[in-house]
Amino acid sequence: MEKFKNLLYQSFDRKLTPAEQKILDDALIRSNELKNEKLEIEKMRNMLEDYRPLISNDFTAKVMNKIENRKTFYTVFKYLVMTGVAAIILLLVTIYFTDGTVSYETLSGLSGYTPETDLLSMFN
Amino acid sequence: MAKKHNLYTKDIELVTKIKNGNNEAFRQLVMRYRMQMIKVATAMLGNTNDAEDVAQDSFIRFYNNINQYNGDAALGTYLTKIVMNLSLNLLKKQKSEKWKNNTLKVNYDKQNTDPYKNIDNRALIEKSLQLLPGDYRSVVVLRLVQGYSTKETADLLGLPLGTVLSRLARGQQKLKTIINNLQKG
Repeated sequence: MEKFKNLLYQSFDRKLTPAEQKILDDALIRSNELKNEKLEIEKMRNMLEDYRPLISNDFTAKVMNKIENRKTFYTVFKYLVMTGVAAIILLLVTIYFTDGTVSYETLSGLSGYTPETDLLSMFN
Repeated sequence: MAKKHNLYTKDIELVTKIKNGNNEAFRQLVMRYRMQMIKVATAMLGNTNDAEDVAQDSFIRFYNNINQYNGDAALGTYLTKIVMNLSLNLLKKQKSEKWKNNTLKVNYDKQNTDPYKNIDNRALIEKSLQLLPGDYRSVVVLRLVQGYSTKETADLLGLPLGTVLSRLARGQQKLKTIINNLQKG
C-alpha cells in the first residue's frame, strides 16, 4: 500500500511513466482506501491553494514609513557630515591665515611653545 | 502568456520609476506584491509579528538594492526569493521549537469532522504548517501555497528537482497527518 501511496502523492507533481500510471490506476480501482487518500490530498491541496493570510491595514504605510525614515536619516547624516567637513576646512583656513602654516603644532595650539619658556615664566 | 508578459512589462516600468526616485511607484509595487510576500512569510513563520516584519523587510531590502534587479527573473519570483531567504534565516536564528510548544489558539471548529471543508480556516493551515519540519515546509509553501512549478521551486530553493519531488510527496503525507491530528484535538 505504501508503494501505491507514494505513487499517488508523486502523481500530483510529476508526470508518471505509463507503467507507473497503470500501476496506480489499477490500485485506485481495487482500493477504496487509496481512493479516499486521493480525495483527501485533493482537498488539502485546494485548501492550501486557497489560503489567504490576514494583512494588517497599515502594511503598505509601514513599509513606506520605513523607506521615508531611512531617507530622512541619510539626509540628516549627509548634512551633518557636510557641516563637519565645512567646519574643519574653515578651521584649517583660519589657522593658515593666522599662523601662516598648518602643522601639528599650530593645530594643537602649541606653536611657539618651548619648555624653557614655561620654566622661565615660573620664576618671573 | 500575454497577461504574464504584460505584468512583466508593468513591473519593469515600475522598477525603472523607482530607480528614478519615484516613491509612488514603489507604493504601487508593495500593493501589488504584499499578499504574495505575506503569504510566504506567514506560511513559513506563522501568523506572528515576525512574519509581517519579514515581509516588510523584504520590500525594504529590495528597495535598498534595487539596482541589483536587472529583470532576468520575474519580479514576483525575485521578491519571493528574498522573503523566503529572510524567513529561513529567521527560522535558523530562532532554532527553538517554540511553535510546537506554544499556546496558540487554533480557531477552527473542532466539531467539524472534515477539516478540508473549512477552506477559509487560516489558523488551521498556519498551525499545521508550523508543525511541519522546515525542509518540507519551504517546499510545500512554494509549491502548494504559492503555486510555483516544481522546477521553479527547485530553482528558488537551490535544490535538485528530485529532492523537491521527494520532499513534496513526504511533506504532504506529514501535513495530512498533522491536519488530521489537529482536527482530533
